[in-house]
Amino acid sequence: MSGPAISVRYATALYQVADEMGTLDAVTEDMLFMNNLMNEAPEIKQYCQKTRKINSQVLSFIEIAFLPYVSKHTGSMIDTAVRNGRLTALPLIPDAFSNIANEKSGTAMAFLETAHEPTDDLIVLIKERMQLKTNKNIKLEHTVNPDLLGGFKVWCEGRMIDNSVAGRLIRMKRLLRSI
Amino acid sequence: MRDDIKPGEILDLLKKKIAGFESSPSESEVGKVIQAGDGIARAWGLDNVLSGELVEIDIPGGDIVHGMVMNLEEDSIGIILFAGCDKVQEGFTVRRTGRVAEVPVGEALLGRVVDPLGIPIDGKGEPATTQKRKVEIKGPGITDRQDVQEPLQTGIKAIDAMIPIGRGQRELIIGDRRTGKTAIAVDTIINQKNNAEEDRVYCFYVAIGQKRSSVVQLVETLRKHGALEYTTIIAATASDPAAFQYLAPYAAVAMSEYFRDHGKHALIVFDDLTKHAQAYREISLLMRRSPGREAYPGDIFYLHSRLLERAAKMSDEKGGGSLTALPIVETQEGDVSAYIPTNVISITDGQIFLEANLFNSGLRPAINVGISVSRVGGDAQITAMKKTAGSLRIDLAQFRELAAFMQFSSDLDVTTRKQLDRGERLTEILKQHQYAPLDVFKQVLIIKAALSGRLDKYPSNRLKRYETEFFNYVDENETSFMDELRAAKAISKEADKELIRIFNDFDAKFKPDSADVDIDAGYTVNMAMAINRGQASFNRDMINLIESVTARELATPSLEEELQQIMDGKDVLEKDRFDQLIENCTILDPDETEDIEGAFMHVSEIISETYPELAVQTLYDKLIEREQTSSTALTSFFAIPHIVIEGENMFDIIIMRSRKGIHFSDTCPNVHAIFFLVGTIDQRHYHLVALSAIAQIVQNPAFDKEWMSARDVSTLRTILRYGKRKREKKG
Repeated sequence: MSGPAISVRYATALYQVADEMGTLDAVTEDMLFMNNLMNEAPEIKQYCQKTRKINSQVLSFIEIAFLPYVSKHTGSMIDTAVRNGRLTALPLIPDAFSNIANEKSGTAMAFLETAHEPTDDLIVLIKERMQLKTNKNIKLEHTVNPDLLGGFKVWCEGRMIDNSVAGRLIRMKRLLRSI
Repeated sequence: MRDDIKPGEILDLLKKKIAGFESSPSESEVGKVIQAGDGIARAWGLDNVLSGELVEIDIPGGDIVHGMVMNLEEDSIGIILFAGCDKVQEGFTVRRTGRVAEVPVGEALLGRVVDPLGIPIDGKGEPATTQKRKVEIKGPGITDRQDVQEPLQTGIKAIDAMIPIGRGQRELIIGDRRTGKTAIAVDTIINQKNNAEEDRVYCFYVAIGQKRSSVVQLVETLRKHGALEYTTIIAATASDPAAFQYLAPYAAVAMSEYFRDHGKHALIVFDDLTKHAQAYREISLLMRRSPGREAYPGDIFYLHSRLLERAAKMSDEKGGGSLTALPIVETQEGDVSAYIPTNVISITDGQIFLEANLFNSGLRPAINVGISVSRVGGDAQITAMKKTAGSLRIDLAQFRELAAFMQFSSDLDVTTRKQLDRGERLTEILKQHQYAPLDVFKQVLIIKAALSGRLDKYPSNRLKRYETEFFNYVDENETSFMDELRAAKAISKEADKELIRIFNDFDAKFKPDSADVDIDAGYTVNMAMAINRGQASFNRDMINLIESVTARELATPSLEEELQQIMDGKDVLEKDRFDQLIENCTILDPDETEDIEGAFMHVSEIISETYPELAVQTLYDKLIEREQTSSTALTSFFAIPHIVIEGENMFDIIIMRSRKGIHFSDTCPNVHAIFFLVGTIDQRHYHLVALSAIAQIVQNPAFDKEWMSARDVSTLRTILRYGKRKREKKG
């Protein structure tokens, strides 16, 4: 079985335990920590993705890198996953957990990419539009990508809205090529 | 860009396109590529994507790579990538199109070469059609079909007479590599040229995993024969991704279904489904589907059955159109029990089985009529052919059986000999050159002539000429008869009488003894023996033939091995003495007709002059005795009478050319080249060397023609002196 399905299984179990034990906030914090760690230290992410054989060295690494900084339930989940030989799924668990938490709370993540720093009005406008489209509360993250030239792109719930100048130019290029 | 756009129109087109450009934001369902390579990609997201749906992968810079969804898994999808698959990398965005794969269809595709997405690859621009059809659809239902009832003429005598194909049928062409599978399909396409416009059969040729140069050759062949204008070629060549090769037959069927569903007739050739299955196996293994027998996935049968189910004869309510399929399958060493051959045999309505042995022995098309079959085409055969060729298959089967025994015995009764003669002539008549399909009504005439025994009186090496001249005669003198036959499509009693008259008239004019000899002919008996011996090569046949005529005194248990060594050039006992013998020997070229006795006496006298101790009568008696033991005529063209004489260290050759021919036996009534060998027993080995040398020289396909057209004795000597053979080794 491949990584994503396993990570969803571990994330679901962790969410249910945290929900029952009332430690959802702490576990959510742990997941943020893990996500940041993986993004800021890609070598750790790579190590997790490529390590297939679990031995004492790997367990020591986990003990040093993760366990001191996470709550009890998160620590148990990491330990179980690693001992079951599922270290490769570890980098994907925070995302899976976030998706589950968002779904439970009726929230959807939206990612906004703009050519320039977006105005507050634009962010509010996009949030409102996305809320209407998905019928969920929207958590919006945004990044700046000058390659878009102008306009923006939004990803939400597996759909992409392309309102960028670069996107329009590409579409026009394809249209003219078909002559 | 299209060829037909004028420069002045380009600006207008650009303006129109820009004015119609939708500048509103685009919204689409997207996912991410998580793995790419080997022509496939795995993507995350696209929760609502359909199996078989086309997806687009955005390449930075504005390019798009197309793919088709093959696998829907719990958390990812498997995509097969079309052109440009090497550009796809992890992290690229995959976008749904909401469309399953479809291709352009219509008359505009005729005469074009396209890839499996319908994109032209012949440099002639976009085909002018807006119509599209889905690549993957179900075949027509039961009520939408009707029985096959119209013939699809291939123009190949052996097929149209014995394995008839009907419009809407699926007839498999199966055989080893280089046995003429594609040639049959191409001839069939070329033959459709002769159909009237309202009866036109539109042809589609799918090249799967072939060399690009082969496709180019095919296009040129079709163009040269005027067949390209009603043919579309769909090419997924060996250098294309496996996805293209997998998609090609389905795309081609979609294109051909357009004609079927518009009440027209179409023919589709899949060349070949073995490579198609291999491409699908490659995709399936990369997609991590479970391998089964020969590592093919479990749905390999369905892969071909759903494809071939789309060939059909439609009911009158549905327009009465048809789609005939000629799938091609390549076998290994004639093994039809491999996985793919057995699958496709069971799916199709019959098979044309081609054999390498037949092909190598000169029988082309190399169809084994014994195991070839057409399950539904008989109903579609025209009455004239059905009635004429009804017994052809049985006659040929009997001939084969007898030919198998022929090699063991030289003494045959008259009935058996007649059956062999008839079979030999039938086999000869069924030979046909490539790119020369024949009108079915002419096929009827020549087959009728052969089956009625009318050709038995001619040597088999004259039949090709008989056929050609007979057709010319009919075209020039009997057009009204042919028109009536074409209209009636059957031979009435009156027409039968008329036909006998035509045959008689032609027979009176036909001169079989003209020097124009077909080089292929004359080896048919030899070939028939090869058929039954399996893997026999020409050398092998030659050795057997020489063995069968070698005088008893020369035969030893090691004769075969010795001859093999001579053929292989391994013997070192003699030093190119044959050349010297040819230079000094007597060559006779009598103007008058001689019978065999006369010829033997003439030669005996010459030998006796050279060797006075040998009496003329003794030599004559020995020659006659040898001939009575078994005929020394190796083929209907040449003979090697040879005798062993008393004495020591004596060996000589006397050669005779008979323009009119000498009657050696009923099967060899006109032998033109006679090589008399006379030697003492101590020259036994050289006797065999000379026999082999002669056999090698006459093996040259041009020998008969050169021999007959030689002006004088000196030219005859030159032909023999410089004939191609393995020279004896020095030292």
